Order: sequence, then C-alpha cells, then structure tokens
Amino acid sequence: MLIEFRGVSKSYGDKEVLQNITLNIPSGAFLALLGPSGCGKTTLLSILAGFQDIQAGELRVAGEVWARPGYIVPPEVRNVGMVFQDFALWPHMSVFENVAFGLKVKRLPRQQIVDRVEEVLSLVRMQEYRHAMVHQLSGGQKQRIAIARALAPNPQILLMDEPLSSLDTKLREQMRWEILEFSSAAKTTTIYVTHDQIEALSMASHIVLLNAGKVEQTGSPQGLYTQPSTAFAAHFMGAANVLPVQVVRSDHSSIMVDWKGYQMLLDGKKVVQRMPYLLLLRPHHLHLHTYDGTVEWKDRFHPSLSSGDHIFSWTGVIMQRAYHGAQWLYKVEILLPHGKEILEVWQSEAYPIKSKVWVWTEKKSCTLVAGGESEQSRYQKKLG
Amino acid sequence: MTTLRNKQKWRPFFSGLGSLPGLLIFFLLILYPLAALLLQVGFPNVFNTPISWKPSWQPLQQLFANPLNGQAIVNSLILGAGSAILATFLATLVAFARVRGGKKMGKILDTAVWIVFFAPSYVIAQGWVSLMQEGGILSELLNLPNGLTQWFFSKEGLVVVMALRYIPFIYFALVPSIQNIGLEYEQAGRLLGANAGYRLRRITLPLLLPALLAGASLAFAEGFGDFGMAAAITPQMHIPLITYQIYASLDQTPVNYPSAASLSLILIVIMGLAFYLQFHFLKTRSFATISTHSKEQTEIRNHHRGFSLVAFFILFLAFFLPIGSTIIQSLLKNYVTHLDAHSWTLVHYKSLFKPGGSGLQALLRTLVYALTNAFLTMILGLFLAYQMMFRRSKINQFINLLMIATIAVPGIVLAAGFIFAYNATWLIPLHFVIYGTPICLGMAYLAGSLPYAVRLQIGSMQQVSGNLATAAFSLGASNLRVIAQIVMPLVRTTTVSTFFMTMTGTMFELPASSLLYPPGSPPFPETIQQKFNAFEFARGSAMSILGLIIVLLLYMLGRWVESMLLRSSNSVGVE
Repeated sequence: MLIEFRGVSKSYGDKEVLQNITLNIPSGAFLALLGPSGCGKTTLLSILAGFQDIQAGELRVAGEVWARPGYIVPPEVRNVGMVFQDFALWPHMSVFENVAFGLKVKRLPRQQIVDRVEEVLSLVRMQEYRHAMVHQLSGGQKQRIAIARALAPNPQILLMDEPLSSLDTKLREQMRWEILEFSSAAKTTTIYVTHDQIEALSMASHIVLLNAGKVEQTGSPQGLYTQPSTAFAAHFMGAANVLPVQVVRSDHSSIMVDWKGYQMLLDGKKVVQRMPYLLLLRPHHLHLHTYDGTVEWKDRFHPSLSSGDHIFSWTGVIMQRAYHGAQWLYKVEILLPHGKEILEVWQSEAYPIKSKVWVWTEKKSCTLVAGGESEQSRYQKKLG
Repeated sequence: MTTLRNKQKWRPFFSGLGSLPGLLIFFLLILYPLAALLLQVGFPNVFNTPISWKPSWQPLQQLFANPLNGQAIVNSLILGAGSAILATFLATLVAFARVRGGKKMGKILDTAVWIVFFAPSYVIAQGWVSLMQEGGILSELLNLPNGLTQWFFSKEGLVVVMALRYIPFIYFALVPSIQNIGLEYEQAGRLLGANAGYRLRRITLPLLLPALLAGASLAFAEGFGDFGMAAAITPQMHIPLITYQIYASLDQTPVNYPSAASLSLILIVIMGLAFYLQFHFLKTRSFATISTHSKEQTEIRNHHRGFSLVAFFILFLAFFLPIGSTIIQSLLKNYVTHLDAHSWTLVHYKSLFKPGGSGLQALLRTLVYALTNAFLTMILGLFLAYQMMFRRSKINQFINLLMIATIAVPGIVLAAGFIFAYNATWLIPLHFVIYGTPICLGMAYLAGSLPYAVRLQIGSMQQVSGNLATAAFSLGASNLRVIAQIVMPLVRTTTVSTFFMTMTGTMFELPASSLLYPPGSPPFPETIQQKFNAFEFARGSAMSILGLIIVLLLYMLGRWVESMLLRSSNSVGVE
C-alpha cells in the first residue's frame, strides 16, 4: 500500500472538516476524491501535499510517516507533483522555464534538464510551445503544461485539484482522455479531486466519496454507481429516483418490499425488517411504452422477457419533458395502489405531454438502500 | 409626458452647459495659475509693464547661470532615486510582515503606515533634525561626543529619512498585490522542492515587479517634488533641492521669476514622467495572478514574529522616533546642555496659548482656512464628481483629465503659479490682483485639495449604479434633487471623510502657506517653519505637536461621524 490515512482528523477552529479518515490507496491507482463543495476533499489533498497539518491520526506514504499531530514532512521534500485548479503556471516564465523549475531546484545538469523537459513536453504533445509564454496558451494547453511541470521531476504521487473545472465542457471531455493517458504513461499514483461524478466514474480506478468530512463510501466506479450504500451515495453518483419503501419479509435470497401498496420481490439477503429502506431506480433503467389499455403489456415491451416476474411495471402520465439531444428526460406520474409518485425517466423516443404510458423496469435494475424518508429528503435538499 | 420628452431632448445641451461652472473653477484654480507659470518660461516679459509677448529662451539659459540650480536638480534626482530604491526595500519588508502576520498584525501595521502617510513631511524632517543635530536630543540622551551624528547631515542621511517617509506609497501598491497572488503559485514552487529564498527570488518578487516598479515610481515622484522635506532640511544640511530652489527664487531677494518658472517646468516634466511610468507599470500588470481559490485556511502559515518586529522597527524609525524627538524637544528648556530632571518645561506650550501670541493667532487663522477649505472642497468635490460620473460630456472628460494631471503637480509649483497668475498686470484694470490676500491663499488651498476630493468622490460614486440617477431623471428629477436625494445619501461617508481629510491636510499645508500668505498674517505651518528657521526648535516643536494633536482629534471626530452615519443608515451606503 502506498498511501495510508489512519484515523486522520482536521479542524479549522471549531469546525471539523475531516473526521477520522481511514483510507488505503494502492500504488499506481488513479483515485478520485469525490464529493460536494465543503466535504473536505481539497483539505485531504492539502494534507497529502503537506500544506496542512492534522490534529489526529497519521498519514503514511510507503511506510514513512508524513504527518501526525505536531509533525509534518514539508512539501519541499515529499516528491509530490500537483496540478492546480487554475493551473498556477508562473506567468513571468516561459513554458520551458515552468517545466524546468523543479529540475533546476534539484540542480540537475543543464543537458539533463533540457532532455527531461523535452521528454515531458513530448508526452503532453507540447514540444513546439517550449518557448511560448503562459499568456499565449489556450486553456487546454495550459492544462497540459501544468501536468508536464508536475510530472517533470518524476513524482511518486500526482495530485490533481479539480484540474478540469476551469475548462469548457468540450475541452473537459477531451482532457479526461488525455489526463488518463499522461498519468498512465508516467506510471504515478494519481489522486484526483473532483465534485463531478462523471469525471470520477469515467477516469478513476478507485473512488472515495466524501460527505461532510467523512468517508461515505469507497470502491470501484461500477460498485459505487450500481450498489450505493446510502441515499447520499445513490444521489451523488448520478440521476436517481430514490423512493421510500417498507420491507414486508426477507429470507436468504429475496426481499419483499412494499412501495405505497405495490409489492416487489427483489433479489437480496435477509435484512432487518424494522429499518427504513429506500428503493433506487436509475432513470435510464426505466422504460416507457405507449399505454393503449387493451394489450398484454409484457409481450409488447420486450419480446425476450418470458416471465412477468423479472419486470415491474406501472401506468402513468407524462407530466413534463425536456429534450437533451440524444435523449428525452421525462417526469412521469405513476399510479400506485395507495397513491401517486413522480419518476424521472430517460428515453430516446418522444412522448407528448399528458400521454398515458407504461413505465417498466427489470428486477435486476432495482437496488435497495438502507435509509429512511427523512434521510432521503435531507440529501435531496443538500444536493439541491 | 410632453414636458418630460422635452427635458430629455434638451438634457445633453444643458449637461454641457452644466459643466461650465466646473470648467471655470478648474480654470481659475489650476489651469490659469499653471499656464501663467509655464508661460513665463517662454515669454519672460509677459508679466512686465507693458506686457510683451516676445518669446525668449533666456529663462532656461539663465537657469544654469546659478550653479545651485543645476546642483539642486541633480541632488533631487539622486535623492529621489535613492530614497525610492531604499523605500521599496523597506516597504517590501513591511508589506510582507503585513500579509504574513495575521489579521491583528495587519490592522496594526495598516494603522501605523497610515499615520506615516498622513504625517507632514516637514514635521518628520524637523524631528530628525532635532534628534540628530550637534548637541541634539540623541547626543544628549546618549552623551555622544560632538561630530558623531554629523554623518546624518549628508545625502545618505537624507536618503534614509526620505525613504522612511515614502514607505506608504509603495506599501499601498504592494499589499494588495501580495494578497492577490494566488497561494498556489508559491505552493507549486514548494512542491517542486524550492525553499523560501528561492521561491521569493524566482516566483514572488518577479510576480510583484509591476507593483514594485509602480510604487517606486510614485515614491521617486514624491521624493523629487517634496517641498516639506526640502524646506526643513535644506537650510540645515546645505543640500540644495529643486523644490527649495523654486521657493528660494520667489522668496529671497532678488526675486527670480524666470528661474522659478524654468525649475517648475523641469519639476513637472520629471514628475510627469515618473507618474507616467507608474501608470504604465500598473497597466502592464498583465499577470493574471488572482487566485480563484479561497485563500483562507488553505495552508498552514508560520507567522514570523521576526518579520513583524522588523516592520515595527522600520515604522518606529519612520514616525515614532522623529515625532518622539519633536515631543522631547517641545518639552525641553532652551539652551539645555545636558538632560536631567530640571531640563523639562511646559513653557513652550503655555506661550502658544498666550492671548494675542503669534502661535495662537496663526493656529486660529489656519483653523479658519482649514474649515473653509474643507467645506468648499467637500461641496465642490461632490458636485464636480457628480458632473463627471453622471453627466458625461466632452468638457467633463477634459476636466477629469486635467484633474488627474493636477495630482502630479507638486504643491510648490501650483503655489508658484498663483503668484504669477494673481499678481499679473492684466488683472490691475479688473481690480482682481488678489495675490497677498487671504482669498488667494484660500484658493491655492482649494486648488491643492480639490483634485484629490473629486477622485475620492468619483471612486465612491463609481459604485453607485448609473441607473439609480437615470431612474430619478426619468421621473423628472433635477440635477440638484438627484445629488441631494439619490447620490449624496449613498456616498455620504466619503463626503464626510473628504471634509475631515481636507481639514487635517490644510492644517499642515506648507508650500502655499509659505509662498502666498498675506503679509503679517502667516498661517500655522509657515509660523512653525519660521520658528525652526530662527532656531527656536522648542517653540516650533511645541507648535508641531499641538498641530498634530488637533489633526488627530479632527481625524477621530471624522471617524466617529462616519461610523455614526454608517450606523444610522444601517449600511445603506456604498462605501
């Protein structure tokens, strides 16, 4: 294990920004620190960089203590590279001077400096800009130079603090690929701070989801997306319909839940019945079909589905819709035995407002998450 | 509706006409006196009887006939440059202590630097003279043998004193720049292994270079055009300086108008160049170094106590030591040979309050001047700033440009211009020769303070949305109503601070006071200067301290009024 946070806590005055953080980050990982503003992710990065001390716990890197209360290894000797949110390229220096800075500090021979600068500039495909001044570069070019500067001294860890946040959407998508390419070529362990779950899901090998100074969930991108352990994680990892349900019964392989009178038999292990639960339905796992009131629905929706046991379906009315290019986002009011519920559904076909539809999903797409209605509304409020 | 439309239609025309009073004020106070002075350079007989418009290079040629003039220009250049360089170094230390020293330390240092900024040059210079002269306070306190403090009365000594005086000009330019440099610029250097010294040399100072150069240019301009320092020190040190030569050309017999005019022209050109450089450096500050991150709590910073101590020591030297020396001097009996319990007296202060005494009369006179000037500056400043902000016209743009330029004109030049302008022969038939009258001196005070007041008011009004005034106009409000009911309530704390700043500034205004005072009625600053020139150091010092106390009280009163206004308006003001 390269980086180990052991019960790390950090406060600013009375405000505790990190609480008992324990994390193990393997060597060579591309780890995304994900969370909303103020969750403590940048503070965690600052502790790793050496800009912040800690009040409790310990930070070890490759077995060596880097921080504990009253002790800190200064940033100058950590051999950590960092790409800042607004790049922090020195405007009075050329591209070459920016990239060569760390090598000059190490007092490497001139030729070695030139060779290494050329090497990293070619890695980021910016050799022809070696003599340019920073203000002559575009946003994406600045980003590449910032990466080159951080990588030039061969850091054992590369830190990236929301490096794409100051770029426009299109460039951001392009830079995601490039950052992955550069970081894997450099073979460093990368810690990437972001509040954008798409960035985290698409780039990281590991994700640490932070919330209010605590680790909410860790795991692979797929794990966090499909099996969120809390309502917060469910919401934060992508668009979600999170619905309060009651567990009617459960055994070693299945759970029966009641959702406003609609009973669903889900796959899963025995759970504590008295606890509140939430049903997670991702909008793109829900499907629509025109309701004509006469047809046996399951054959019409999906001919390959042989048994109604594997799918759940409800009738509803399209209340709102928004065109997003490749898909439509619908708000559909569905009818349940004991009430109504609004669901968000992504669908490529167009349905007019007020039209009656079937809404259906597969059993395997339904996830049960621990947590009650109050927790659900709290997170929804927090996430805006 | 028709009426409103007609009003709208005619507004541009009236707005141009509305600028005319403003133009007239600037013409009488600034344009005409400056033109009259500079005219003298090319047309030396324009003030003779009869008037002759024959051009001549004689004044410029004659300028160097007196070797003191050439020497004064060179001295002023050397001292201006030397003090600017040293002040830059000292101000950088103080500014770093300010930014790195935490919030409380920052407030204390800011206050101390403002005190240095407001302290009149000649009072500081006189404090130094009292301290360092042969048999002065330092010699007495430390029992120093004769001659040990003589090094001070040299160009090097003067450079130190002037540099300490100009720290605020660089400090004010530097502190926001240091604060605005994103922390990540330095953090990037730290992570790449650079130590503090390397980061300072290679990252921080190069990023601060535009601010440093702008501040240094301003300090040079201040040093080159400083009359207070020259007036207090030149007679003691025998180091001729350009501003003192202008004064001497006009004040000493034989009066040499062409020389004063030519020296003024040189002074304006060099100072103008320095100000141009300052603007140039500020404009070229293209380094986008402002961080998008919150700077608070993103890095543990060791607050270096040593740094703060150095800063306090520098500010102690800049203000508290010379003022302390003035206080001691003011409490000493005359002709004290050594300090003991019997050396002290309050007689110099008591004599100031003697009814009919010259000190009290001068003080009361100056209080009247200061009060009148502050009132007129406040009102006119408000109106002119309003004209320039909300009633845009070519004339207003011209006045604005003129006003910015006037800030670069040193007080001694403006005062010299008043002599030529209001003593001119062509004013005789108009019965408008006001030179030597209180009106002339009052106008010179106004000319000195008005440009600053207008700049301050404009700064404040820039934060008032133009739509607020437009909304009032669209409802048919007159200019007067808009000023009184819309603009004034929003900028009133600035208006009040303009009043008190002008009042305190006039209390110690030296150039106009020295050159333009009505015969037999010297104002307070001139009386202090006369005391020092007559070697009545104790009496002069007592007057300086009394003046400083009055200024301090006025300042405190001003702050109190401002805070009351802010509180009563529940922060509706924009300041």
